[in-house]
Amino acid sequence: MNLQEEILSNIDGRTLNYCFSCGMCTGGCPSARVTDSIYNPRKILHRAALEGRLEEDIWLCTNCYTCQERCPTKTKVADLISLMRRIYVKEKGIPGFIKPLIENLGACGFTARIGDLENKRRERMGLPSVKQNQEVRRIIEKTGGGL
Amino acid sequence: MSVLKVFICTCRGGITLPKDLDFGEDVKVRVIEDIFFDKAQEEIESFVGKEKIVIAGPSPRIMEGFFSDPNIAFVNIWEQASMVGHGPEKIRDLIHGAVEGLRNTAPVEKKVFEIKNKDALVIGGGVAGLEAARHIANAGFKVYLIEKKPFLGGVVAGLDRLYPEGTPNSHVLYPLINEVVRNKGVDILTNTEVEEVDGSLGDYRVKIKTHGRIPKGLMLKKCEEVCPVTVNDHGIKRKAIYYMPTYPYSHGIDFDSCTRCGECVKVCEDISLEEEEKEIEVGAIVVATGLKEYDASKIIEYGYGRYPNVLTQWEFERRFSNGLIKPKSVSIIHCAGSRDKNHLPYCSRVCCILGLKEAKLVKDTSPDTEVYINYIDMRSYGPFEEFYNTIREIYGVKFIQGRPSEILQDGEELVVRAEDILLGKQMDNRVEYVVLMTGFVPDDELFHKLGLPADGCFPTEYVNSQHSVDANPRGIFIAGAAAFPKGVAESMIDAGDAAQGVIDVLDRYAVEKKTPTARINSSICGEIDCRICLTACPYGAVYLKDEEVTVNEELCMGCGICTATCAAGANQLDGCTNNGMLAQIAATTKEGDVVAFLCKWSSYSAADKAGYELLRYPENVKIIRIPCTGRVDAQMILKAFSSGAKGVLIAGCPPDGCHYFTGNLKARKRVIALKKLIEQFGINPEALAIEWIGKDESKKFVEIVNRLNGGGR
Repeated sequence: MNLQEEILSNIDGRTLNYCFSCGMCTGGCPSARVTDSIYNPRKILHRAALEGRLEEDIWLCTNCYTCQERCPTKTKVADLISLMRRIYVKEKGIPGFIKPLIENLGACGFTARIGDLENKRRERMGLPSVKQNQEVRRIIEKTGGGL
Repeated sequence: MSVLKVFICTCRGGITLPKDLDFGEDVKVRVIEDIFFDKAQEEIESFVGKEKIVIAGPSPRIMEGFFSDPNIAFVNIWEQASMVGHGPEKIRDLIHGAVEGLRNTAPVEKKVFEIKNKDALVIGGGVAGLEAARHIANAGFKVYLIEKKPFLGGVVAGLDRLYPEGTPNSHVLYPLINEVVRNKGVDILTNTEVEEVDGSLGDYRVKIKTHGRIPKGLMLKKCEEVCPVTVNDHGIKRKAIYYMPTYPYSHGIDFDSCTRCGECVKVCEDISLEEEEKEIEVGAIVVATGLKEYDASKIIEYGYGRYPNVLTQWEFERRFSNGLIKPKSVSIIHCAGSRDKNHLPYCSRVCCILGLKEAKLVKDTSPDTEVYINYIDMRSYGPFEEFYNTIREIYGVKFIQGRPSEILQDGEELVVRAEDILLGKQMDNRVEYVVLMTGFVPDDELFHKLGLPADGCFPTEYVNSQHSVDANPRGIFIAGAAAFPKGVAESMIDAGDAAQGVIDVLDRYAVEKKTPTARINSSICGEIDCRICLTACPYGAVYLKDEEVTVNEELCMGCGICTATCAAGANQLDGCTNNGMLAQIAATTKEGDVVAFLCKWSSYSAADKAGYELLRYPENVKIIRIPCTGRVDAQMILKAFSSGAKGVLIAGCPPDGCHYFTGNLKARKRVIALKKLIEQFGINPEALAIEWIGKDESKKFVEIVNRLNGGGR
């Protein structure tokens, strides 16, 4: 696999070359904040552009889009990270530490499991209860969600 | 002008001429030995302006040095025929083409602008305006210097230190103001604005409005005391009537905030709050309106306007120099709004060094203050590198590479949250004050009144084309930072340059138009009313005047890009009209030829170079010179094919290298679209090519025409 070629063949991916490494993305990143900058979107982009290497840190993005909102060069930072995740899954499959989330997703349609306790709390707040959702499970199975 | 004269230079017998030199009854042919002889030139000169003339000889690149008249057509039979070994038949075709082209072109009248008024108007009383006024007045012309603020001095007057090293501004400003005041030729009008501008080069009528007057030399401390209006001027509190140590040497009234309550007039009867309008007549105008800070409150994440200690550079400098703030720690943030596609996409050019200047100002005054600089790239070009080194080495300012992502307030402190790129870590920097080095935008309220193309950006195209010698003479000159952000010294040099332009115009009785311009036939245009050409012009010269498409002859550079977009034929470029071009193409082209439309700025020179280098290319390659590839329209290309061409080449400057900014890109789009069309007519799309050929790329030119010659349709 050639990471650069894959990224540049995608319309959002093409914005990778816009980046001039100013660090504004990492500067405001909540994930970088709690991981002591182990997760560093600027570095991830730079690494992809120069080395063409994918590492597991891309899974630490919370998709809050702060980086993309603030980027002065209009690089689609968060979209690029999502794109790299897709390429990662295509190449190496879903990494082990993501699997529990997928299980939850298959069970209820959310990454965090919603059981009786949560439903009771929802009831108190006047929200409809969440039922077991088989559709999402079927989608995951059909698309080879790695379960 | 019905007679056509053809002068053919044989280059002292170096060119073998065709035997048949009969181009029609009305065409008189004269063969001359050497066109560089004074006598030959005098002979041709005697017909210039009276008859249409074709000069066949060396490249027009050379011949335009001797003859400049819109009714002369040049034929290159030396570099592009004889030198590359092409025979008399081709020479005849080329001359025939030029003759037919000229025959089908209406004679162009040479336009002259009479310089009726010998006075000049300088708008803006900052350093650039003052310097321009000084130069023009020294040359003996009367100058009206108008300033919308109550005092002269512009941006510099409001600040303590000069860009870049921090010399006190009084070193430059006071002597400059005194020079201007001493000069009796300068009429200084403060509190004055331009209301309306009418007329053109050499004959402008300008309505100006003066908001009020205070007699010179009055210290009006009592008026200041009674004034009920308090103004926050970059964080410094003052009254609407206040004093600044520049000119006039008295108090001044800030009419933006004055309520005209009349309290001050009760104290001093000499003050006039009456608005006065008057009309002045001038021959040329200098626009020195300068720049202003980008509105920092638009950069939401930096909290300007929300947090009181987040200041812009000018606010900070004014407050700091006036001793209103004594910071313990300061973070200077570069590129606030600049180099940002969400705000100003350009680099504001002076702020890197301006930031260093602020750092030096702080450290000079209070060495214990911690100063941090957040930057993306430090653009300290040329001698500024030494200044950058000094700030780092001697002053101990801490540099953090990384553009801050957000600024937050935490109690008394401000938190600058940024990645330190060199450490690869997100950091919180706690400081007392944050200084935003905001980007700069032009103070462009006047631009549309003056007919200058402006859309909130600096008028780069106007300024660049103004410095081009092929531009038409203009009466409006941009000086100083109104053109793009400049330091003080640069602004003053630029002002001298603009003054030179004004003096050059005012010194003459009349100036001649240099470039052919586009003309609009309003009866055809009015019917169709598509207005496509409005967006085609790279200079904003094609505009709507009373709902009618009009060409501003001062701004037009003669590229013909607009002419090519006009499907109705209402828009015609002088000397390169549809009829003329089509007749020339039809007469030049023979069955099986390759027609090459070459841009006169680059590719035509490449073909000339092929001549000096004695390269060989097929004789059936016929070159037609055009001002820009953007002028070549579908009609011309199809005409070449219908006249028998088996290949057509359109070649111009490399991408982004177009003399008219975007002509080559527009031509490219047009040709790519046309390729699909000609396929339907049964012409091989490969027979039509558009290429970038730079002035030195003669070998590339030869390769391409060989390819086209081999292809066939």
